[in-house]
Amino acid sequence: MENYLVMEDVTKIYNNGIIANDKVNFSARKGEIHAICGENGAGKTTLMKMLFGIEQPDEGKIIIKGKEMRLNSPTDAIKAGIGMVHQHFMQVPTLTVAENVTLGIEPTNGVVFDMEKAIKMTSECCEKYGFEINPKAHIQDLSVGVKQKVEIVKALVKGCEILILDEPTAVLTPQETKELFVQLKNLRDSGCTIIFISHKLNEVKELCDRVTVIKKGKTIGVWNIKDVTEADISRYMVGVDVDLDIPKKPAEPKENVLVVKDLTVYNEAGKKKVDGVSFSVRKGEIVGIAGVEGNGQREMIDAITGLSKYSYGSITLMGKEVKDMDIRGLRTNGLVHIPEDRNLYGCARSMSIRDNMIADKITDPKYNNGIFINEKAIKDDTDKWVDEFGVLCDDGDQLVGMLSGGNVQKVVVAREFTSYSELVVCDQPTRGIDVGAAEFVRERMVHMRDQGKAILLISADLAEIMSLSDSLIVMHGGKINAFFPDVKTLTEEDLGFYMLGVKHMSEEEIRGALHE
Amino acid sequence: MGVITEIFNTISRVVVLPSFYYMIFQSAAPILLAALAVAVAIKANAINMGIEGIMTVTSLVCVLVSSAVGGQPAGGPWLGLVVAIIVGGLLGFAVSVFAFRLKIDIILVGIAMNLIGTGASVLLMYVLTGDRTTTTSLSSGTLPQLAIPLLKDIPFLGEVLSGHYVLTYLAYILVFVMSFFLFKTKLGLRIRAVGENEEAAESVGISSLRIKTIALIISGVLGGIAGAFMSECYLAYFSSGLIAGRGFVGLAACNMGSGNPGIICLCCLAFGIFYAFSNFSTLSNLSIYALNALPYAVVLVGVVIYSVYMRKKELKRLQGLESEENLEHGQPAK
Repeated sequence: MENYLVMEDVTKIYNNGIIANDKVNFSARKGEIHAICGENGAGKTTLMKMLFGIEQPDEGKIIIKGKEMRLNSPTDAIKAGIGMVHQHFMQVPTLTVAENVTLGIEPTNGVVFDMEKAIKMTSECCEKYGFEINPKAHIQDLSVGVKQKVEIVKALVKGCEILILDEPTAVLTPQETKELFVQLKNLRDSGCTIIFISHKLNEVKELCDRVTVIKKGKTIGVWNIKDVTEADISRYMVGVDVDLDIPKKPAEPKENVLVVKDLTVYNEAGKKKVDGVSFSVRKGEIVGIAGVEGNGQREMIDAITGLSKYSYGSITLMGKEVKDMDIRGLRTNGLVHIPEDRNLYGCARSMSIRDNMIADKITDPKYNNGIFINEKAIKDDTDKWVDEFGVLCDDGDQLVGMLSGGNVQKVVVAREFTSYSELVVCDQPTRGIDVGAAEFVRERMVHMRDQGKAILLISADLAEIMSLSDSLIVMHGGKINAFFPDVKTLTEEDLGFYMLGVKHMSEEEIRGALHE
Repeated sequence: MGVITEIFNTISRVVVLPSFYYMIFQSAAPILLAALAVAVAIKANAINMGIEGIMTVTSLVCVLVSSAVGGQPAGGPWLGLVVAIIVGGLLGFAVSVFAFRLKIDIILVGIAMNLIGTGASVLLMYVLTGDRTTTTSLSSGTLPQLAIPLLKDIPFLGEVLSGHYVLTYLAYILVFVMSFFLFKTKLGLRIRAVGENEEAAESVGISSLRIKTIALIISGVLGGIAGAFMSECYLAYFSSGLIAGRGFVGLAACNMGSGNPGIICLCCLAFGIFYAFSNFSTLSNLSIYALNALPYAVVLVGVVIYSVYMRKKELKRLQGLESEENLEHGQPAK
């Protein structure tokens, strides 16, 4: 069917005056995988929110199977046969798979929740579409890949015929991604229409039948995937070719800045998440940490940056043990940190760009005389940084919450990179920001390295971590599974094998991560 | 030294009395009702801080309704209970309107509810009865006490477990009812889902606003029963200061029981022991004021012990003492 789903001249203007969608046209056929590509802030998410009833269009029509629909809530969308897999999983961790899958359409026996029936509904749906999930398992015990399958089953069990996937591969390993693609193709062949939102053009090329490109809230065009190359799509998206090669000289590492020895960390549930990890980061090098989410990177970084405590082993920064240091102590000893969640930990959204940039330096006598703050000095310096880091804003007094994701990240980067630093911890520094801003952040990291800083980079973006890192650590099951002193020879597939624990390196090789 | 001896003497005089154990169950009942009220709301991630105020208002309403229809002979206490339940439900609904529709911080709404409850009930009492402290001038009566057949004839045990007020039995039955409701029913599942991940519930078409409102109404209803207990079982009249912090003690018990009805019940019984003691001041030379203050001091100690326990658990986590795999590996415990 040609016009199974049509969104016609859809316009959405948010209350703050931002035009997210400007007469966007989008249509999908029955039984196709249709990609929507566009930079961050291009309006993909808004368009999908309208299709799923979370937002309502100000103008335009949504037509499903020839019938114009008004979708006022997700309930309406679910009734119309639309399902959505959100970027952040919509699951209740302490409940079982079956309870999560049937939430909202709970089978009952009178007023009693019928667990047996819920399990049966879940396993029947899993069988029908070839998913292997234990309906009795609790969500909190599952890996990210399985959680995502639960999310898809959740939509299917409600009889969804149009499935929206919002960047589904962002959290998966290459192998898990492959498995997901096989299942999505099966779903398509059984007549399901899949809308696939992604930044990863190689995946779009591999999986999808057609692609719609959106730029600055407008539709640029629709192409059959076999008629366009990845380079074409990226040109349509940003107007210029994206150069993923980051120009950098070979590293010249000097003495150790961060030394981690036999570090062991337990999580809230008392489970060992980091298991005797040892490595070091030296001046003038970028050490990358790769790994599937949930293999201890999070806990390790939290311990290094002082966000959580650890019990066994040692972490030394510039020769000093950090165990009993508070965050201020860590910072005076040269730690700067770009946190993973910029909105929660990276900035204060309701404060100005100026206040955010100066927050960690306000104790400096340059900016205060003991009683009053020196507004002139603050204004001069922050204006300079706004300029230097290319933050797109009206002026430094604008609230950070008003900026786009990429510009918020630039504010965070500007604050951290202008502080006194020896060790720079970059946790997912370019996640979810547009290509232009990501490129800028990466260049800045290389620039910091060339100034002799030690850089620890954690990223789920394999292309990024492979092109930026000088040496690379792979974590699996809380341990270092592989150490590559030189990343140039490494292939993405090989990295995937180490990340999944299919291959292991010898202890001898792994010991190389600690330079003594 | 004299004080310590006197404490031991008092304890030894009191613990042999069946009426002491009877009092434990009776004193724990209103706290338990309050704690269950808080628990159902907290499972939906809505804090019903105003429970004390809801209990105050409903206990007065009970007395007024009961005496208006002619007191005990006319079945007034029963009608009072019904109206208290309705008023409690309405107050729970009011909390949800203020907190979720008008977007006022739910803690502030709770504080306001407590202040209004105390103030308004005294005002209302004065306007209607001309008395500022109690409603003893009204004959509102009490709900019946139940003698349980067979059980009442067993020595000691019969005196402890039989002959309680209807609402006392109801409180303990509600422990099971609420467990079943929260963990086995569809609405209970939705309440827990909304409480833990509101977005997830919303994404499958569950209105979190509706679920939270329902939870707060149920919470108010339970608060109404707790209020009725105070003025139709515990006493046969309303007085200012009648609730005396029992709603807050319920809040503490709910927190210590992590919203789990079974554990909440145990916490309430533990508090009940000390409430019961204060009823036996005549058997003791200890200051009656000290005895009356005892339950509250114990709640404070209980909450401190609870947080020390949680902190220990946190430390253990860091050292991995709770991890079984750790024991397998034979790692030294620090």
